[in-house]
Amino acid sequence: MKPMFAATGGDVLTEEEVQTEEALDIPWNVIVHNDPINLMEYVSKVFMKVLGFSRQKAEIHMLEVHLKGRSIVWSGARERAEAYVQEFHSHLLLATIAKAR
Amino acid sequence: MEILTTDSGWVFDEMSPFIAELLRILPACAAPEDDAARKRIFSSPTSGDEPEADDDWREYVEPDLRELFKTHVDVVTADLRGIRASEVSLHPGSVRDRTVKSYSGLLAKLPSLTHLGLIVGGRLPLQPPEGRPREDLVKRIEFIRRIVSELHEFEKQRDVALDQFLSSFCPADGESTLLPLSDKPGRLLDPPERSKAVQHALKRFQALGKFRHKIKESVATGDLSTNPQSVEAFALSIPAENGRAWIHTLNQARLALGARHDVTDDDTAGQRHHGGEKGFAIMQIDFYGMILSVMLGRTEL
Repeated sequence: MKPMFAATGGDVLTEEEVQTEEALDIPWNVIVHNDPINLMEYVSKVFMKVLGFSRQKAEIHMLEVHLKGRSIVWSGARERAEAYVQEFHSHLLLATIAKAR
Repeated sequence: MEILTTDSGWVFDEMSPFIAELLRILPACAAPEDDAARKRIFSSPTSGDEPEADDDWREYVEPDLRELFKTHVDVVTADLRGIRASEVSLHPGSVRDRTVKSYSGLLAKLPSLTHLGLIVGGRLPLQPPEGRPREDLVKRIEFIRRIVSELHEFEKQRDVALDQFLSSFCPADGESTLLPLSDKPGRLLDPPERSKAVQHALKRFQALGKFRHKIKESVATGDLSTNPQSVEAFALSIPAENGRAWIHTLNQARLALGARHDVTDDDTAGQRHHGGEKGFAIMQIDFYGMILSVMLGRTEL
C-alpha cells in the first residue's frame, strides 16, 4: 500500500497510524458469480433469505449475475462478508469475498 | 408422471420405471466424490486469489458444509426408500380425479345428453371384469388405465358430439327441445326408436358410472394394493418438512452433473444438442430442475 504521507525523520508512527486507518476503511465485497445450472428463481430466493432482500432487489441482483456474470451483493467488514459467503455456499451458490478496490 | 402438491407435502404419482430410476439415482448423482463435482460443490471462497484463506476454509468451514449437505442427502435417501407401486388412487386434483369429476358432471346432465350418449357410446366398448374380485393386478390396472383413457377420449369427443347433436336437432315445428328426437340431420326418431335409444344411452352411462364406483371401491378395499414386482407405475410421497433437503439435494445433483460434464449456459438453454452421457446428464439436470421448481413454490429455504 502506498503511504499517504512521505515518511520524514522520526515520523514513522504517523505513517503506520494512517495505514491502519485506511485498511479498516476498505470494505470487503461479497460477490456472487454466474453458473449455468442454478435456477434464477432459486438464486433470488437465496438472496432474499441470506441478505433479507426484497423480491425486487433480489431479482435485480439475480439478473445482474445472470447477464453480467457477477454481482456485488454486499460490502462491509471482512468477518461478516465471510459469514455471508459461507451462507451462500451452504446454498450452493458460487460466492467469493474480495477486497473492494 | 404427475406431481401433486398437497397440504402434507408432495406426491409423485404415475412414474414410469425410468422416471422412478432417475429419482433413485439422485443421491448418487449428488455425491461430490469426483474432482469436478467436489470443486463445484465446495468452491473456493476467494476464487483462488488467497491460498491461505482457501486453506483455512477447507480446514474449518468445509467440514461443516459437508456435514450439512450429507444431512440433506440422507433425508432424501430415506424418502426414496418409500418409492412404491402407484396405487391408481383418486388423489384430489389429479388428472384422474378431474376426469372422474368431469364425468360425474356429465352424468348429472344425463337427461339432456342421452342422444350424445348414443353418438359417443359406440366409442366406449367397455367390458367390466366380472366375477373375479382378486383378478391379476396388472390386468386390473391396465383395465383402469383404459377406462381413464377412454374417459379422456369421451371428454374430447363431447364437444364435437354436442355440436353434431345440436346441429342435427331441428324439429319440423322449429321449437327447441332437449329430447332425443333425431339420430341424424333431418330425420326424427319414431317414439319406439326414441325410447330404445334413450334406454340404450342410459345403460351406457350407468355402466360407466358402475365402473367408476368399482374403481373407487377397489382402491378403498385394497384390491389394488401395491405389488412392485408386477406393476409399471410408481409413486412417492414426500413430507413437506423434507422440502428443504430435497431442494438442496436436487440442486447439488444438478451442479455435480453440470460440473462432471462441463455443462455450459448454451447447453442448458438448449442451444446445443448432445447425445451420449452429456445428453443424458443434461436431461437429468432438466428433470431435477423441474421438480425443484415445483418444490420451491411452497418451501422456505
